[in-house]
Amino acid sequence: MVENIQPADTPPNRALRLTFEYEGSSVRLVSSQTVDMILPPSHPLEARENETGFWFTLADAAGKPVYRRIVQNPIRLDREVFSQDPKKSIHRLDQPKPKGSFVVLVPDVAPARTLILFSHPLELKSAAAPARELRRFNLSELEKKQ
Amino acid sequence: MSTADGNVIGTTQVVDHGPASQRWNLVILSDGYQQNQLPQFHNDVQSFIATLFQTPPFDELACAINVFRIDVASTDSGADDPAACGGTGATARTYFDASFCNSGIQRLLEVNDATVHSVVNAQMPQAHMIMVIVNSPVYGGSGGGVATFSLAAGANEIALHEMGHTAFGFADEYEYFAGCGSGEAGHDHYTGGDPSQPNVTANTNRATLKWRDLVQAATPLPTLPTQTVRNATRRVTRCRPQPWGRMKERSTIIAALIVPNSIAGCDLLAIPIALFASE
Repeated sequence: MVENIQPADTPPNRALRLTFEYEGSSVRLVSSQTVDMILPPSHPLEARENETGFWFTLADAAGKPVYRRIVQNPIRLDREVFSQDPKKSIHRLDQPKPKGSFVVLVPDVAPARTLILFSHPLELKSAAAPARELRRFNLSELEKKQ
Repeated sequence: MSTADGNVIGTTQVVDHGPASQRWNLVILSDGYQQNQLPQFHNDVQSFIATLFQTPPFDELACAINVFRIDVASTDSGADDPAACGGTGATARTYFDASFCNSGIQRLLEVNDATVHSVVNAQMPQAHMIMVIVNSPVYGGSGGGVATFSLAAGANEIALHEMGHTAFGFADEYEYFAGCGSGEAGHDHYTGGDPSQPNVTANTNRATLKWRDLVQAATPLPTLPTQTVRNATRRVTRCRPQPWGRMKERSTIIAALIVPNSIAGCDLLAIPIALFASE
């Protein structure tokens, strides 16, 4: 149930390593690197109706998705707090003003023109709401960050 | 307490199971280790690797995994341990600015993740997973794109838990927010759209269930903690399961089942796809 993409004219195992910083719902790209590395195959290219969570999609010039990967939301609206006491559970702590940095790895494939980040609304009470477009980046914009 | 408080020494591959371009690469960095303490960091990395490769499903996936160590020396030893959280009040000048007491929780140990990403991007950009070991005996850690843990007993469980998120994209399955026994209500019942992660769902339709191939025909839906999935028994407890406290058992089973039966020779395509497989 996975869809892999390896266009014939693209060297295998080439990826873009994209580093972002975020503060609240503001996300900005800070660096882009081309790297020889394996990446997971694409998840189903189209999201299910009302699907929640966080994912990123590569789209071609016509806007058609060519790669989609679901990941844990890197914009941390809460933090997991662990206990050394094995009798005590993990619990969560609300992070009302999320701030940090994260990396997205995408295949460096010829048809891709746009990277789109999708997320549920960035507030904890909306974590079960359908994901929507958060930001999009033109890959030509990414190349300038190299 | 910044990058002025230390320096990056360099990168060493400590587990070599094949070309980095063809393997899943784990990168482990140090914080709060002074230059003369780096041999201890090397031992701490080896200790974690031993734990990792004894832990399902990573034991069976070992040949797909490389491990790299990035030695970073800090001016001071340890981490900030603010008195406001009951700590010693110690401050330590470290490269990644490790500190306990984030958000007022002593055991929430965090580092400057932007600095970590900057170092990894420069030293080992083929990293799939990043961890920082903080040289402190105080229990603590945190997850996210950079998993952080201290040297206290059990703290490496935090890193293993985070690998479940990063390697397999699993969602947490515990059914509370403030903690088991907190008295809260409502977090054991989900309403909303279907979650994207492979191990959780709001769907009870047997024909379209994400893990439909794993559920016996006689198993009622939704599956309950005491029921079985195929022949594997889910030993789910309501609170933190032990000794495997990283993800709950369904995730373990799904992770195990996506590993191919034969991994002899560590096939370059089969293993990474298994490691990354989802639905």
